[in-house]
Amino acid sequence: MGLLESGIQMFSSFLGKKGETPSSSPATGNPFFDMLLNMKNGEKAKAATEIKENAEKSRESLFGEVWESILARYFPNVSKLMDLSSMVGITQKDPEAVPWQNEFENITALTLFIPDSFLHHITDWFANSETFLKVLENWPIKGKEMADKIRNGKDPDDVINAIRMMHQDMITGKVSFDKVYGAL
Amino acid sequence: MDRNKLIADIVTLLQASTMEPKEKAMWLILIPQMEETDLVKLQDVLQKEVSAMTNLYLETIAEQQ
Repeated sequence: MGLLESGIQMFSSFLGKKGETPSSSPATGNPFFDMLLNMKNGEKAKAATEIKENAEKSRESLFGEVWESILARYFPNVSKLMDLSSMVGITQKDPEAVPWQNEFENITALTLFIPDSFLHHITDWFANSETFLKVLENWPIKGKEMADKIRNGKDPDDVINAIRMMHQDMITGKVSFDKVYGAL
Repeated sequence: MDRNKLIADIVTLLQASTMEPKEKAMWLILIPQMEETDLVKLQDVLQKEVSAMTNLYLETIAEQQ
């Protein structure tokens, strides 16, 4: 047993009350918090577990938001397929931040199956709009890259992907138009 | 807040969090891709957890003395 481990064990027994033995909670990598979590039957262990669980719930919810944002930017096709799978009932629908959120996401996801020659009629307006491209250019993370891609290729999928990303950021309140216009 | 300062703060708090090492690594990978509002949320969640655990630790020591 290393010096650190024996020190931790000694300190654990100091912190624990009589009759309390360490449980088998997984190590957190933080020796002091491990000790609090491993005190069996103690009020403190209960409180520590509660803090840990509440923090986990908060991080899980945040992870969901971050993940959706990353999917929309880096894996747009996967993001569309996930929306379609919720539309046909394979996966659970996301709770809506605004009433039309799922409808908008499902309609734009359906563009996966619409030929580019049809989509051009709608997306060309965006691809040729300097205002839209300027706003997109100032959009946080990947905005400029997406705007350049649209300018160069005018690919309908790129336009849809950009709109989906912007929509997602707007409904989750991550980006406000004030912020983007402020940067123009 | 300055993005670099925010990230530095989060990295410090991550080390003190009770989350498992795999999750720490995951956040470290995600942080560069995260928007500022999400970074602030993460900082807030971590700060709350670490402060609560530290207070609990201090209470435990006080009771033993």
